[in-house]
Amino acid sequence: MSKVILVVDDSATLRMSVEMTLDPAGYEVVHARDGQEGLGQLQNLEKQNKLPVMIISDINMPIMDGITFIKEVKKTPYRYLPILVLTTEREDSKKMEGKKAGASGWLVKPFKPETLLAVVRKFTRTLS
Amino acid sequence: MEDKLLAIFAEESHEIIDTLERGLLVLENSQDPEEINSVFRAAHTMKGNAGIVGFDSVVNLTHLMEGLLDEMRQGRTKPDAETVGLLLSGVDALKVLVNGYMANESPAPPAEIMSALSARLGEESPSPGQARVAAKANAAPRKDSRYRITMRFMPDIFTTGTDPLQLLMELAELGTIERVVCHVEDLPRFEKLVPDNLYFWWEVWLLSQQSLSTLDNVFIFVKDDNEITIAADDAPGQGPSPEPAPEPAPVASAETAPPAPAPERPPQAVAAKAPAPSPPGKAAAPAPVPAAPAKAPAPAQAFAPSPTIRVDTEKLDKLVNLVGELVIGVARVNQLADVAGGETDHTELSSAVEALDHISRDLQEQVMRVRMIPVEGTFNRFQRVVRDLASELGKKIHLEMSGSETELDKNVIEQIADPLKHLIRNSADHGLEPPQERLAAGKEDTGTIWLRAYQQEGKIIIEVADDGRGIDRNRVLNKAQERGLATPGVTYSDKDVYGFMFQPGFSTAAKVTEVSGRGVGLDVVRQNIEALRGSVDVESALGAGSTFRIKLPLTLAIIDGMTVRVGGEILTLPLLSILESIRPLAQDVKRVEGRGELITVRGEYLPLVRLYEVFDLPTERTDPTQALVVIIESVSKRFGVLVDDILGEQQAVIKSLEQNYQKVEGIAGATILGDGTVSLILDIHGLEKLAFG
Repeated sequence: MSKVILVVDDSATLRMSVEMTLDPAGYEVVHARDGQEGLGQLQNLEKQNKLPVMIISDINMPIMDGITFIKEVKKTPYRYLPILVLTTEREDSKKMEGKKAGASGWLVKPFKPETLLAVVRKFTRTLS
Repeated sequence: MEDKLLAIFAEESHEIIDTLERGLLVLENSQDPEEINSVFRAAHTMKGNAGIVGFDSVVNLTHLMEGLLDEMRQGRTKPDAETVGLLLSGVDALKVLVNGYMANESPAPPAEIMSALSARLGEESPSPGQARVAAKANAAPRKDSRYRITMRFMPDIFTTGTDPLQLLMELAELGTIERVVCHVEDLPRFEKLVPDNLYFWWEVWLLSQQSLSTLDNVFIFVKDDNEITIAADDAPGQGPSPEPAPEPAPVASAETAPPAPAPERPPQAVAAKAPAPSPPGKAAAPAPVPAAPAKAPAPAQAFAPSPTIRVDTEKLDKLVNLVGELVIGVARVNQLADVAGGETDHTELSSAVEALDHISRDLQEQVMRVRMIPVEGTFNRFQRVVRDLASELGKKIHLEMSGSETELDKNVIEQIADPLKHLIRNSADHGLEPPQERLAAGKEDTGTIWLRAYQQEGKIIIEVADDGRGIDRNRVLNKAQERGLATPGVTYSDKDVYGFMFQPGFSTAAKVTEVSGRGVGLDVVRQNIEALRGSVDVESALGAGSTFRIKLPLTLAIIDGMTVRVGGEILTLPLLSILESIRPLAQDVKRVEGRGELITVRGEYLPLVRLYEVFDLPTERTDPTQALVVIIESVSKRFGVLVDDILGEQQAVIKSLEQNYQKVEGIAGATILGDGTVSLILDIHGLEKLAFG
């Protein structure tokens, strides 16, 4: 069974680029357009019995932003999931905010596919 | 795969550009921080997306726009007309850039706009938001070095989603782990143990060819908040090995790493051992999962699943087509059941068929509805159009929209934008007066254009109205006579006169302006709308304004038709165009020199078209008094159509002749009737051309 990764970003282009990077590496990418959808997807995935191994989230999103999303995730049983925050240079302070909220790591957009893959591997290593 | 990304980028770019445009126009009138935010976000996303696909010019331009919008967000710049204007020109340039890139060009960013934006930002030169230079290449040393690494984490490290085991494993991939020491001395007594916390710390001796900075990178996300040390070490972990060192393991392994303090506390194991489905949910909280969100501040909607999905329109078209076939098929079965029912008692059969008929029609309606989208998107675009028109024409124009939630078939919406734009231009240019003239006429100096959409009697009505000078009937008539469209001396109704405006080559504009008068007249509007099987008419009052009213069918896939017989053929006429049908008396039909055959309907003379002549269909009923005349109304004229008989009204699913055979003048398509026979659907506009040239 492939490892599921939830990508939360309002940009479809970004989500697709993440998917194109991770899909060939054997990850299944599930999309959400904002934090609220992200929380919904977590529930959907649980119902299908395929919880993600990791979450990748943008910060600046409509409806529910990334910081709020992380804080919400931390209130749920999914709080041990690694969360990678996507930021831009402009949002350096957001990186700290994300970290405080409980993010596991961050990546500056736009990123190279190999960088993303390396970071994702970092958080999804297993013993088997 | 690359194409797929570009396609998504292109689609999303159009949405973003729409949002930018709409948002900027709203901003000009209000300073709603939420709106500023959403415009900023749009520019931000655009920049990010362009970075992903490598469209540098777009990145550079959006970088500056984003900067200016950020200033606005911070309240340092006001969204005044000038700033908004500058940003709008940026949006226009974005469109050009995106289109350029999509056409495989490498367009340069617009220098003028770039420098204007930079100037507003107080930047000397446009600083491109370049991609961050990737991490330094590691010149890997040949020889193995020995490193001693200590890892002490915050007790609550697990809640940040980091698992120390994974870091150990990552280290193990970078070299050979000589020795790992797990320090367990901080472990509290069981009663004091917090299951979520980490009480251990590790010492690792690693033999690796990697540089120090590569190893440092392993801890990139944790080194700020946790005590991590990495040092070159010559002694293979004898000296440094602390007293309590409990049987050092040769290689980092699961046994050394997470000897979980509490057996039923597997958070780290969750991430490490089991990528498998359920653990985090079960492991972390005893409460069942659904209970958890209840604690969240926004509980109810917080877990709403994604509300929409995108579907290829081609798939929808296929679905619509198939359902159409289904409806026809059921109608056929229905007919057969009727026949069978006539002979014997088949009530059960016919009630079953009836139920099937109901369901298939419901299904059809629902499927059709899927294709419907609100006209809002198209309407909103006109804010910009009107704004540009106003400044171009030196007029003050206010656009008032209503009914933008009205839904229309997606195909229709796509094709209605151009005609609407034309009508709006027409209203702005010809309808509305310049401010002084309006004031002189006792009106407000700002003219209003209304754009309304609503549903009426199963049709969608879209109106473009203005409170301008109205249509001067006499001027139109003079022009029509000049152009040979109207015959001098003949009395024309208002409707006829307005109809002239929709004839090819008609233009009343005294001077050709930049805005209208581009050689494209209302006749093109009419053609476009008739191609959608709609109609357009005009109401006007001199001095008070005009209203152009477009009537459209709800969908293009189905037509409400009247089936008529001509000879052995069954033809379908679009109901939308039919006014009435009559059986004429002998004295009502006359042949007039130069005007062909005419029929009198309540004192009005209408041209009579004999369908069997137009389509060359053999029939016995050539005497109008024995046949029927269907009165048809098109935009430009009313005329009678002679048919043998009227069979009834029927919804017809249109099959394109063009796709399956070839285009036939005067025929809009074909449909299959309940009994399986094919009926050709007449195209009124084409028929008019065939009959009157």
